[in-house]
Amino acid sequence: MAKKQKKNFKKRRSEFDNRPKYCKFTSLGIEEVDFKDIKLLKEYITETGKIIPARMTGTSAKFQRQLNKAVKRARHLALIPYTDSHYY
Amino acid sequence: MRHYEIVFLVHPDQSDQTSSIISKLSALVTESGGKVHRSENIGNRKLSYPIQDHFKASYGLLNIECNQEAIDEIKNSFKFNDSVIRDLILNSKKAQTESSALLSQTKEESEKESYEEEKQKKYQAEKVAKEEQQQARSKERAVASAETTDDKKIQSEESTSSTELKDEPSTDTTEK
Repeated sequence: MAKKQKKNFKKRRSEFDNRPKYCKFTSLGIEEVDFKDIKLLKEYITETGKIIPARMTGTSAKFQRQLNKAVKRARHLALIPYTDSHYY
Repeated sequence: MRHYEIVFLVHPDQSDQTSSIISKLSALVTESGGKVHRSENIGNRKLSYPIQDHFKASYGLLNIECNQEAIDEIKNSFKFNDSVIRDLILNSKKAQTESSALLSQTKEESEKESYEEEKQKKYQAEKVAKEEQQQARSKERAVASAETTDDKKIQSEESTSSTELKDEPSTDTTEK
């Protein structure tokens, strides 16, 4: 029985994986990623504070490089956490 | 002459100083023949991680155009000013004059916080009112039960011990 179930088993994909991939920055016509725009940066960060790779989000290489820098600047200014385990 | 973007965090206990620091820096820039394109006092913000055991800090933002000497002086002033916790100085290509996203987002957040606080206050007030009502009701009930027990006493004078036992829980509820 177990084998039969395995045959029909489909790889589970989360909602995050299934959402359409497109580069938000090129479609919106943003010239440069702003490190002060926290709302926008938080879309490209996991719950633990890691930067999400471009292959997951679909951002173009040019803007992924800018995003990388912007996130690191925002972290320095305590706008975005480095990890989820900062002590309180 | 180059364009620079400066962001700095001020100690939460000295958050009044942000505006004075901004005015000082802008005076320094204009004296050296530069320009101030944008200056914002963003105000207190919650930090996403504690810096020097502080959970809040007030932010200041400046977009300026100045020469190397002026920017060196600004860097030096940040270094020897204890009230500035952290700073970031960047070269930028263009002069930015529109209000920043940080300012609008902090405003939104503060509005949300105040709204939630009001909500909580309302909720607590309602809770207190409910408790008072419940206390009043329990008192009424206790009075009513005491009356009934008295009647019972009169009815059954022989079995007084059992009625006393019934009395005890009713008195407890009044204390609560």
